[in-house]
Amino acid sequence: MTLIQQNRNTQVNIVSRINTTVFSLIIFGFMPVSVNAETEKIHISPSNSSQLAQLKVTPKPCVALRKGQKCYLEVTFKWQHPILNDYCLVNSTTNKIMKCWQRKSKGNYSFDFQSKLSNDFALRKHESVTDLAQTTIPVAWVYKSSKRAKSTWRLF
Amino acid sequence: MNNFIINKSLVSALPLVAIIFTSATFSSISYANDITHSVRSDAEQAGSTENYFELGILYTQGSGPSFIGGRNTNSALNGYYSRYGLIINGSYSWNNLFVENYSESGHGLVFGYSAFNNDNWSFDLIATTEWLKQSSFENNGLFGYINNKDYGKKFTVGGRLIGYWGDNIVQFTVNQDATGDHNGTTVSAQIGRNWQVRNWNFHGIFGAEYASAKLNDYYVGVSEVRAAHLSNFFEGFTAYNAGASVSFSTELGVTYPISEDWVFRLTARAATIADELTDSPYYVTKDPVATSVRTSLSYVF
Repeated sequence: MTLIQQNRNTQVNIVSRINTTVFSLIIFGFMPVSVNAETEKIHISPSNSSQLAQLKVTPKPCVALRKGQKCYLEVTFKWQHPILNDYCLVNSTTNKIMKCWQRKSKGNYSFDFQSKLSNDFALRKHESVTDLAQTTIPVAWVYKSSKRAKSTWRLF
Repeated sequence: MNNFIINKSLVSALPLVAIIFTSATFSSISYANDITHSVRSDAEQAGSTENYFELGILYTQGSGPSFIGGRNTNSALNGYYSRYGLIINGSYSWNNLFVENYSESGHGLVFGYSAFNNDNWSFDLIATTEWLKQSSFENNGLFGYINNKDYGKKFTVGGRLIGYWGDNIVQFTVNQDATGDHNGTTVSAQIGRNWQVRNWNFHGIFGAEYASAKLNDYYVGVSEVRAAHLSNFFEGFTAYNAGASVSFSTELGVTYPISEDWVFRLTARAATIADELTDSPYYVTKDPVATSVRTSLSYVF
């Protein structure tokens, strides 16, 4: 092997090592992220668990004829959470607990909604005030006139 | 000559309307809608400053006394009719002035001035293109053309007093012809109530209406000359002078908000048709009571 050939082999090795290093950096550069993501799935913190909780209500909105009327609607809530635990469905507008479940990761609840205003609802852990998931039943009206103003005679 | 009189009378009525409109003060105030709208929409004490527009389709089926040469000859002969129509409801108020049109009311376009308004009472001065037919939904007779009357120039002026007690609404109206065609007068009183059963809004209205002899005679009276002419076509056609009449009407209905924009309505009505009207030879059948069922679907803008 000539000196020139040795130099060529050395250059090729260096280039291949650089490529390998760059590739390794790229791979390992992403690896910690993947590991961390996997770690998050396994170890769910309270703040992150709310992102995974789901709370839906159907149908909506509730439509009354005139503003100020009470609106009536049979609704069904559906919730789920990746962790088995004690959960409650709470009307956060009235701060009233509607129903609680023990050692559940999902549930349904139907009830007769009756209100003059839109109401917010939340899924919370039992005896917690932190909302894991939220939803709203909006109340809408066809005729949106306001209350009559008081006045006196003003003829001419 | 007749046209001249009409035009002259219209001109004489214009200053009154102008006074009403130009004398408006500029405070922000609402007015009360006609009972036929308020009771349907559960306005009750809410009354309204309601600027809105609603367009829909209406189907009516009914029966009542029939008029010779009514708009639909076949149905006129047996007293039954059915028809489709447009619903054009809307109102707009500006300061104390307002304009409204409610197809369910049986009135035409109403221009008004809200003269008084508090929690329980509202008084409006009104001018309208058509008022003198409270029972128009049932009494097809007034649509007849054989009585040779000009139906295109109706214009009345009057007043409307509306009271609110909880879910109950009362309305008193006086209207006077302003065209000079007949100088007829109507006086009506209506009481209505709304019941909300979940999102269904039921309503009931009971009313009584007085119509002056001048008004009735204009529409169903038959002069000697006209009787002589029509007796060539209709056997036993005699002259007739109509007197004043009182009729009663009642209706039950329901309104349902299908969505925030769509409204469904169903209304059943019955109205007495006074003998002073049906005794006219213009009437072929003389049922003392007319009934109708109306259903509609409308879009609220």
